[in-house]
Amino acid sequence: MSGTVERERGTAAGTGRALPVVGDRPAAPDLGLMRVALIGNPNTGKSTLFNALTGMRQRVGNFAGVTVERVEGYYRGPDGRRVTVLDLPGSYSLSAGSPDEEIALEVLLGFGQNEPLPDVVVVVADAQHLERNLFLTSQILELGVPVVVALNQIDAAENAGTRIDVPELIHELGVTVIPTVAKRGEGVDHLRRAIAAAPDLPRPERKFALPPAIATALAPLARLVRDAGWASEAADMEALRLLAVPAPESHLAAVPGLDRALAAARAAVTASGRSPRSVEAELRYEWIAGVVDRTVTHPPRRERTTSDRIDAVVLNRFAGPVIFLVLMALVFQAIFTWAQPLMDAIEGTVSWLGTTVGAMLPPGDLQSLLVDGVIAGVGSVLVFLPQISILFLFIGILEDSGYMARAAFLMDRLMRRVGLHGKSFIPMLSGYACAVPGIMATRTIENPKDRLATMMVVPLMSCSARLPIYTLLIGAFVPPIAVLGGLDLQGVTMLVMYLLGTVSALAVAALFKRTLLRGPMRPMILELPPYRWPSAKTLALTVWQRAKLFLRRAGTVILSLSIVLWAMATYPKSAPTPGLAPQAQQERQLEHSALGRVGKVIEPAVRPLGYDWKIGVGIASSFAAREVFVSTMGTIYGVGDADQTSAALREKLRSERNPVTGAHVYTPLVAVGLMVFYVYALMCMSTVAVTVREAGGGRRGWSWAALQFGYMLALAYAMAWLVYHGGRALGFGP
Amino acid sequence: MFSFLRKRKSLPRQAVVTAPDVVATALVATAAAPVAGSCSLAACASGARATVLTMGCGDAEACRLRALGLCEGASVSVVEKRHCMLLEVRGARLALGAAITAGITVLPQPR
Repeated sequence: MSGTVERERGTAAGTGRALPVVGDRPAAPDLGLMRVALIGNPNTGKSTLFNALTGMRQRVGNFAGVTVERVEGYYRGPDGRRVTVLDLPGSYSLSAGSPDEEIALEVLLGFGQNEPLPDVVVVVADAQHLERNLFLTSQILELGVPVVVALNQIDAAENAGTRIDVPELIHELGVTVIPTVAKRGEGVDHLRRAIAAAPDLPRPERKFALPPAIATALAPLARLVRDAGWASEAADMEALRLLAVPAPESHLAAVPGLDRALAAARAAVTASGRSPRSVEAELRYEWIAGVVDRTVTHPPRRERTTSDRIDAVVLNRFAGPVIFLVLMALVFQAIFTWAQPLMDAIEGTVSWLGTTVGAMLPPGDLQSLLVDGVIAGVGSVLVFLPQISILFLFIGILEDSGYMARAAFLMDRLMRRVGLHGKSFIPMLSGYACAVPGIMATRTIENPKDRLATMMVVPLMSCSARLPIYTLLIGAFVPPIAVLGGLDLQGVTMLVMYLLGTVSALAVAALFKRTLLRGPMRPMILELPPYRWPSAKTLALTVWQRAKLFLRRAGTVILSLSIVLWAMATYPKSAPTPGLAPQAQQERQLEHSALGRVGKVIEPAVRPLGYDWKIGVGIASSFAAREVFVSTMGTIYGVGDADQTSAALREKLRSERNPVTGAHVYTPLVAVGLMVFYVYALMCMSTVAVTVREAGGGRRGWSWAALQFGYMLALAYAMAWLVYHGGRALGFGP
Repeated sequence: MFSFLRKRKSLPRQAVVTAPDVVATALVATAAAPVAGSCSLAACASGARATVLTMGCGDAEACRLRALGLCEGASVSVVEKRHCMLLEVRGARLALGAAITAGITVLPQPR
């Protein structure tokens, strides 16, 4: 296609190495396909514009080798060509240093892994904050690729009394500028036409001249970069940009002698009386000030905006935390209760499907595999879907409205004490409902180490799957004695379990941040965007994408593990005993199976905690999903389809005695120890699968997931041991 | 290199107000010597306006701040001061930690 950017070929003179030559990158094939990259500052409505351009035709994944999310969509251009749009991560500049921004730079320079150079770059600029947005725009204009500027949220700027002279702005920037209101789809057709025409227009270039001393200082560095394969314009942009960056990014590693040339350029700039670190920003903002002066008319005096008024309340020292807690309680409540009818419906459907399939097939291993393995396994994943969808709906509303940044600001002080960022709070809170969406919600944390540390501790927050275990054991062993106000001992015990998980999560996060994930404590730098009404379409697409991602990726792992677990509980088979009741037969089969044998094998390991082999089987069977512990106990004690409120099961547990000593197996101390064990133990396949993916996938992902599983199991064992033996030493049990 | 900035931390917490015409020459002068009337951004009170003279924070943070519009020569308004600072820069609102604001030298503007 003619729109494919032609780049100068560089030579890797004298290096003998295969250097990345931009012209040799996999350019878009000439098959009537056009590739567009969408870039812009965060909170400019970039994703809304992306949705308006592409609709539901989107695919979400990760950029190769990193956990930075890659969202691509497509549409049919006005000339009938298929146009693929890559939504690059929100970036304040090409050198602001986050992994997201590094990816954006690599893609725009044609160095992204398996990412062809885009034919057109669309810069989404917020009309309300044009001055700040033009910084990134000015860098993009110097890449030598066709550029279209989408002047988004033009309505908000006009409502605030700001007028932008668009024809004059086109003249100043030298590229097409299209005013848009993405959430209403205004200007999107014009934008599509401008994208189609952009490759045939003259390439944009730097709009300001460097002072002679700076130009001379940068010339050798720009030449070096150009010789390594960069286009002429891009090399000039890189040379100026590199002066300010703390360290050259990985895509520059192949440029020979870069460090020496950069040091020389910095020294020459310093000798000219300017600071090399600040010269790029000074020159760009100087040019931008002139552009804004000539194109933007601000209202005579700055009025107090709606955002200012909301912030006066929401960020108030006293009202702010209260509003935050109320909002979080609402989110928590919604995840807990609103999801319940949907979860019940899914469980009902899965159960109906299992019964139907079971009735269609003759009893046997195939029937058991399909019903107990596949359908029950997949059902155990599907049941989380309502919670995930509701959580991401709320996260989307909080993000798109601008409140999320305020929440991070309010919580920053508390979270900073354990070495985390304010943004870690929301995923940790989500963990109360379910660790799976909680871990997925860590995507909002930019710093990879903070993100990993948060991911590692989210499962310590007591999730809804622990509730059946707490309910069963508290109901059976903790008397309902009134303790405080309206609370009884049962309620206090439940509260203690939740608090134990929360305090432990903060403590373990602090430990990770001081050891394995040690890194400089990043001071808070946070933009508080203006409040906006979220777009319903964008919210719906976000929830849909998250749901799809969860089902596709986690589902495959869960399915395989479910089948393995089914096989372990089914084989080897015990011979049927004539006259034995089905429940008793089932109990015998479980004891005889590989899983039962595992229970026997691990009995010596769990005995120091006061447990017998049956509890061992319960623990072993709940490795996939902790709530299975309750149904396994039901099976073992022949109570059938028991749930946490089953009086029969509670009675069985209370009366269970050791066949050798005659002592009670379950004492209150053993029950509390067992609850403490489940506070800490990570027994959830879904969480493991999601951690693998969110921690980077492959070996890296599995390593972090293994560490997470291992440390939580060790902690669970140690704490349960401590409770049992400490309690005995204090005279709380035999 | 920025040792003079550390000494500036002991300045009175109230922003010092000086004539704005100093600002133009101050940007050049700060590289060599402190400017009369300058102070750390952390020392500015709520409601103060100031012009940034130097960015004495880490290179990575300074690079990010410049991309956010907070750079040498930029005019900032202190919206609120608490454990961190709420600022308005080029029409955008930023929240900056104390470690950052302590390293930024500004020249307060008259009210």
